Amino acid sequence: MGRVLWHFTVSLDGFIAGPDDSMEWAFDAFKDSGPNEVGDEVMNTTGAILAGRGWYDGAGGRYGRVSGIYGGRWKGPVFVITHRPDDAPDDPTVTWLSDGIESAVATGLEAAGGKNLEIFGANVARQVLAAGLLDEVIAHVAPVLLGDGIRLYDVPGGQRIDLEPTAFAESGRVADLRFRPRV
Amino acid sequence: MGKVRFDISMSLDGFVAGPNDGPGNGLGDGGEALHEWIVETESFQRHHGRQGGETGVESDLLDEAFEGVGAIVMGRRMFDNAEEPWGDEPPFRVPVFVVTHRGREPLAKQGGTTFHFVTDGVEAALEQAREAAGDGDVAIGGGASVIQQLLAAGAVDEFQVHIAPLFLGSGVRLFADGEMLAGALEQTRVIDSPGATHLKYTVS
Repeated sequence: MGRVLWHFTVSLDGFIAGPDDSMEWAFDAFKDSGPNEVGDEVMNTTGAILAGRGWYDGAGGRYGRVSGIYGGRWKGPVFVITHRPDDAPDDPTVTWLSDGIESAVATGLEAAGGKNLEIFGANVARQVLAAGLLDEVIAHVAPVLLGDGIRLYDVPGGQRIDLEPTAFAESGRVADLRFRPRV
Repeated sequence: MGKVRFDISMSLDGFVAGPNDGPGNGLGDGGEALHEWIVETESFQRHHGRQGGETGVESDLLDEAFEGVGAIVMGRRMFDNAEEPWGDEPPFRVPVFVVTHRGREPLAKQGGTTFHFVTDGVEAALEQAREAAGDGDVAIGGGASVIQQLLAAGAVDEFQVHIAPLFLGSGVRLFADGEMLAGALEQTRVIDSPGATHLKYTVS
């Protein structure tokens, strides 16, 4: 059985996408760093992706959606959660899911065929975390302040989640931090 | 002239305190976990006039944060939140300039810490701190608001963020919305320790 991973690049001020879903800041952070071993390992062990509608309409839409994942280097099934399945675009590259987070994670894991299920999007990740279904957090911290965009983890009133550090690496301009959620 | 710098503990999602911070709840709801990497260290114990504690990289990092500091700038909210827990012998042992709207006489504590209350703004407080520090560094003690104002003013030379392993989801953010920095950040050092990841930056 594969594991459920949330893999992201986060600005020092806590955004995973900049204004208008821009990601150039993240591409820049990796540009001069050479290959990122952590990122490549995650990509190679990912068997399926579970994304949110926010990703599909936002950063995903801006950078080629399925064809732009890991710069086109990754191939596999992509599921997108939506509360409005009737409004979902007719897009043969993704499978729309609307039966709740637990069902979506189970569907994604099965499609991953023993490899890992990767989560795309802050909103879906928050739901997966809240449901206790997330196995690992893999963060690349980039040395930039964005000031606006999509927040990594935004819960009105707060919802503390303790993390257990499991691995660490420094790769050029970014720091790679890995954690297991404590439940 | 010394540097202007700060050290602060932050959650992975960018908070330096949880929600509902205030006197008696200085780090907000759930925020005490931000300082878990600090409180058992030998350095923390020594700076609070106590013995014991754990030596090692985390203790060394806290020592480094205090080392060479000739004066401190601090916001009033942080002072109000922490004055009581600091007690009669606060850990700073240098002059501390508190930015406030209400003037009051300097407050001398045991161990070399004197709080000066500055009513004409954060940059004036920084000027006074620079003068008091002489060749030493000025540390920005926090909280987030004073740090944000001095970052925006281009007054900060370097800083270290100690990323504690947790998400808070709400509370006091270290960095403000909108344009924060005129310059760029360069990551100059990364240290991993059991309780936190320590990321050091210079502002250019």
